[in-house]
Amino acid sequence: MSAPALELAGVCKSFGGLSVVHDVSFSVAQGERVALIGPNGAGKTTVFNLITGVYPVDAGRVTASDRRIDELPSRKRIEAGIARTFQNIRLVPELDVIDNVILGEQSLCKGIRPYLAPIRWLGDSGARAQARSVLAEIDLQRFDRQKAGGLPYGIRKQIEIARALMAGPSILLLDEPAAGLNAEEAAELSRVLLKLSDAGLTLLIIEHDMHFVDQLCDHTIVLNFGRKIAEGTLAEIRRDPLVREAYIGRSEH
Amino acid sequence: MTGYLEGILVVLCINAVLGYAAYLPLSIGQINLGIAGFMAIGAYTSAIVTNELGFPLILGLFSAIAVAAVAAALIAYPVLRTTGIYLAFATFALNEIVRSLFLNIELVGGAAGYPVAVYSGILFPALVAAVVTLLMVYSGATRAHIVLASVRRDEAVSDLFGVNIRLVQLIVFVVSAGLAAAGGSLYAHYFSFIEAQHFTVFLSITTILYVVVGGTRSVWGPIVGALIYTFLPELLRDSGEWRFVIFSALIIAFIAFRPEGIVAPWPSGPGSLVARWVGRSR
Repeated sequence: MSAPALELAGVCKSFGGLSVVHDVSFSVAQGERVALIGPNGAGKTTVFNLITGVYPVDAGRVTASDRRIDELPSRKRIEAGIARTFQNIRLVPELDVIDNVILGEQSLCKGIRPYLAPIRWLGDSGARAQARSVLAEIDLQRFDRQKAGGLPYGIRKQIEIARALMAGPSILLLDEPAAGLNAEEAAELSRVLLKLSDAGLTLLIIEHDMHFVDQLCDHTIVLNFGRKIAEGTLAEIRRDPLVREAYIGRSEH
Repeated sequence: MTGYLEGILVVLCINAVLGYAAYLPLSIGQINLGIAGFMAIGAYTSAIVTNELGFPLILGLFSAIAVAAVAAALIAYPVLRTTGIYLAFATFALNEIVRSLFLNIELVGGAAGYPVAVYSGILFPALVAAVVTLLMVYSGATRAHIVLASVRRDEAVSDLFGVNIRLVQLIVFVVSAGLAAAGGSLYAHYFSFIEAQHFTVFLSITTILYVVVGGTRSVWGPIVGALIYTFLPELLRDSGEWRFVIFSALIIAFIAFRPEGIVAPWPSGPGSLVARWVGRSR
């Protein structure tokens, strides 16, 4: 069996006296679609930030395909195959959509050569062609020449996915991808993600929309107050008394 | 061509080159007030190597660029550890240190100034300004433009996508210094006389202001800014002292209503600029 795409072992993080992530361990197998759920403030986004190196871990280790990454600087972790999106959209609003997407392949640009080509004048070749095909993959190519800042929320969320895909990741971390989407858009996004997953991409998804999680994910991890309180299929999770108390129980009963 | 018009066109060329020196740091959200200092390094280097070593004009220019770039690379480490207003202060101090140094070096005349023997005429500055503009416009079509915009908007996200922020800042600082030095070299060889008092922080600030008016998000911004800054005071010359007031009012109006400058997409519909200004709380 191949090494997990991503593994956290005993990961801890405190800010001052506040323990935000405590002894969290889980692993995501290659090609798996895993949901990371929990109430607001459970530490989900902090887990993403620890995986991608926005913050250093206080204790524990993070490995990606058997390679230890928690000691790598944040800018090198994307080279280990980890790309992400953000809960609050973080595109460059004054740049065209296609330029925002092209930024995604920054980690693949080594040396000076990639910076010499006048990609804006070259039309449909090189980086632009690739960005356009990634946009086409998630059916957004019609927006390529528009400024990212002027587009609706749901579209911008998906442009972030396109940007992350440009890095050619093996695992994609999505922070609330369905938030702000209507039911139809969410269903479309879930179809797109399934297609990517079928092509071999591993997904770790923070999401509050349980219907979306149910459609998409084969495994769910529940965090509460920075601790992992349960994991399993969504059906198992729903039956877990700790989880019902912390999270799902409150909203369904 | 009259001497008057030629003089203005050369000033335009120098302003355009200096404009790009200010534009590069602005394009990643940095205020570099040391531009006039690097311009001084360029002016004096070019003057010294042509006067004392007999270098031709073109080698004077290259020496100016090289010396300023090396100086920038050497002091980049402490200077670039600061950000925001502190970076502005650090580069302000740098500018004044450089100026005081030249003010006290006897070889270059100290406070009395330094005559420059090699005269350039108009063609050389025009050629250099054209080459610099072409290079900047070209770079605006490359990936560099995307990286700079991304660093300005969000350093953390740029870093997560693999951008080496420190390296980008270093390159911008060094190239900006080289451009400022090129502007200094052009200045020295056209006006044939340089003195340290010319290269004050006020010159850096003025340069930044006209680039802001022109636009910091397009490679054409510094050119438009330099055009306005060079010609407007001349057009207003008849209004005497008032031309400075009018020019200042224009700059304030731009900063209030149009912070992204002239060269950037304009909002449509009448009154939208005012509406945006009134509703600027976001």
